[in-house]
Amino acid sequence: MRIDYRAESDRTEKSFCGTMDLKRMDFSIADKSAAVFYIDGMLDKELFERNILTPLKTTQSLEQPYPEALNKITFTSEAINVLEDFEEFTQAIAAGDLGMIIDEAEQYFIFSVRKYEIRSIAEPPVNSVLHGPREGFNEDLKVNLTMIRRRLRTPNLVVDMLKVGQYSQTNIALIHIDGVASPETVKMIKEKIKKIEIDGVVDSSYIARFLEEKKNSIFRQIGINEKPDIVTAKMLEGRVAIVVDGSPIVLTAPFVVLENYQAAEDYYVKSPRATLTRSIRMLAQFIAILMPGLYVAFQEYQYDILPLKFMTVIMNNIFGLPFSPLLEMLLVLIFFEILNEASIKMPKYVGMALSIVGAIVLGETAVNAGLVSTPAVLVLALSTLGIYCVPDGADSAGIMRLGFVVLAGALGIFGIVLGILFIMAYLTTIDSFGTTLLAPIAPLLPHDFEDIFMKNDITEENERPDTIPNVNKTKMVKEDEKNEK
Amino acid sequence: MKNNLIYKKQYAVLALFASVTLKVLMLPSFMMADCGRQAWFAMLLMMTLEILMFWVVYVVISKQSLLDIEMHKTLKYIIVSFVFFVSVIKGIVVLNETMDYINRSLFEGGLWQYKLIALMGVVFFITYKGPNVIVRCMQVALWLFVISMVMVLVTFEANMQVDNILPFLPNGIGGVLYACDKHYLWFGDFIPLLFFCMTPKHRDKEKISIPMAFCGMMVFIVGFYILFIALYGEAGVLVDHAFSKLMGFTMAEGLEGILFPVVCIWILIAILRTCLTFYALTEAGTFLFKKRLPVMIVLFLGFTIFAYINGGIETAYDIGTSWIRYIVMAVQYSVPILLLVLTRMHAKKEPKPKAIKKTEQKVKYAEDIQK
Repeated sequence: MRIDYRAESDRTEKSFCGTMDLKRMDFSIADKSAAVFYIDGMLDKELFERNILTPLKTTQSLEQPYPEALNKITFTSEAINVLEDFEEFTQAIAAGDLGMIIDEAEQYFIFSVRKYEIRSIAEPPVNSVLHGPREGFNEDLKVNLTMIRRRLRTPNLVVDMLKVGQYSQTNIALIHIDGVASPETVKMIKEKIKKIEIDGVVDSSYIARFLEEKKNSIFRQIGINEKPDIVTAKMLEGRVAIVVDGSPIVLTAPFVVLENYQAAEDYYVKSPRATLTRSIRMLAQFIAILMPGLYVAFQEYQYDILPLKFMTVIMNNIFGLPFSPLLEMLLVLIFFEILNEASIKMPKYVGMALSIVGAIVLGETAVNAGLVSTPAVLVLALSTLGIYCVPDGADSAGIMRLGFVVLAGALGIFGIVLGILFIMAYLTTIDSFGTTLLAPIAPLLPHDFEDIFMKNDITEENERPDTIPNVNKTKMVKEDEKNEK
Repeated sequence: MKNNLIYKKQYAVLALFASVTLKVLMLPSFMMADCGRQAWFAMLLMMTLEILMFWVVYVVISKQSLLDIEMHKTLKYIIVSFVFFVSVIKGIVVLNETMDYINRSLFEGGLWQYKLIALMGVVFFITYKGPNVIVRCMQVALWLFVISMVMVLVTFEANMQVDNILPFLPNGIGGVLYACDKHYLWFGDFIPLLFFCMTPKHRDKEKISIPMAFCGMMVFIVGFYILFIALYGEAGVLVDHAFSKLMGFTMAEGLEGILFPVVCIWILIAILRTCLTFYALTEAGTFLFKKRLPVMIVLFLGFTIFAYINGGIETAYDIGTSWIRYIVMAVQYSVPILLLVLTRMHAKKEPKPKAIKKTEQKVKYAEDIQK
């Protein structure tokens, strides 16, 4: 097939439906007519003019085969990509590459000289650390991949590139360490991603939804991470990372619920401190989810459990309230959810004003007006603080808290016990790529307890966890084993 | 039936909870009514028998579960029908006792019938999800159990009279045997475990969990009864739900019910124990009547209506101490032993398939090298 430069150029222009940001430039390379296409704003123009356009315009001859000739003439870090399919050619231009058509050539040519503005690397808003790396992922796939590769300088780090989205053509990188991650897990994830048929992928959460086993569950079934050090550590345990172009959130699978309680800093401080903070986190979440429900249950049904002095204080406060304990707590919860939603969405300049409105006007005035009691506001405040001690589990914790309040209102503590049992049973039914969401508690894997409730010293963790399927158990060779060898 | 493969550790947890959960609620007062301060000795005898039977069940399911064992079709139908009948009776007792425990611990004798529906909903969900979910929930509950026991041990404070346990058998063993016979229905909790199956040996080399569970069962139950008698003496006969009452003897008493979480944890375990009985019932029912979901719906509706109309610990006691217990006793002891004989006969008759033999040889070789 010999390309007719004019016809193909017009066809290319037409395939972009007359978009104004498609730029076309016709010129000659020696005695051959040529045209280049690119999307305005996605091209490094300086590089294009200096290393591609100028050498091409000034060259005296262009001989077959063209790819080799063009590689000799131009100065680019990446070799010219040669395409025979017209659709692939237009897709590459849409993705930001420079497309070239040369009269009587047999293929289309693609130069990779993309350049567009990206957000600089910064510390992510959640999971901040006092000691430890502060880098966070940004929205660029290549930058994110580089951040991971800088930490894993091994040829065993394998990156599989996939494309998802009919219109978005989003690049997705599937990363694992060969010889550590289980090949079955990698295969399972790859196949699931390949099966996705969607018009566009805007964020990695789209992919996460497709990878989850139970779509309507309130519990996360895929890990989300904003920091390369965390992703690296997870990959070293045998997990697979999924980086989606355009998203600063990197997914990891398999996932277990207890990952939510493992903060990055646990691994950078001494183990007693890590154990303490981890226990506090678990306790905080427990209080966050159950406390409002228990408060309702104690008032509605099991009031005799409370110590007398404590009960007197509550009685004094709730005397004359127009609502039942259940309605009162629901009202306070709804107040909080409105405040929470507003504080995230509203402009930062009015954030201070909102705090005043939330804390003083709504809280204090509602108490003074006799609509809600002070203990109810206190319980909710404590509960909310507890929720944000484990930010990765905040979504499900908020829903569970509401559920437990309703159950406590209907059945008291019995309702809470039933709720806990139901959640427990439900979680044991969810699998995440070869592991169970509740592992290593159920099924019981005592080997992995060194990094669950307690955090062992890093020098003692010489094996990878059993929870995550992997093909190489050895993480570290101990000193005495070295000596034996 | 699916996902009924369990590891030794899981069997140990199942056996522990299946056996101990309901023996510390109403049974202490029932036993004391018939054999007084010798109740602990009666429990020692019955628990020895119970542990032996748990061992028999373990040996049986190490090969195959009840429904997978090869035998004549008619014989299997007869055995499963008996197991179904036993499970129905046990189901009534277990459900009523659990509901009574929940009601008396949490609601001061309120309208428990409304709570029954919520309870049955959760039991249905867990039973429907299958054996794996029950086992895993029990594994989580084990942690809660350990935490609750630590809380009890740390805060326990009571003036115990060791003299209360003595004298030992002043009127011979007759009263003890009478109590064992009368309350037999509160024993023989190993039947639901026949529906599980152990994973192949070479994949589960855990050796200590089952002996540990058996020791735990014995120590917990007999220790609990000794403690109970030492605290209450002859008055123990008046104490219902012994476990909850014992939680009152703690340093935390001044804070009124700080050990309430322990009671809540025990309620959770009791519900799981109920699920285990209903699981056996469902599996036996499904084998007999083929369709699982309709069988489950009918069974659960039936139990709910029965408990709604005629519920309460009195019903459980009346059924548990009636002549039906002799049928239950006969089935509970004969079925595991019969299955053991059948599996042994079957193992002798049929040569092992080559593949299994090879795998076993390989495992043995690997173990020898390791040694």
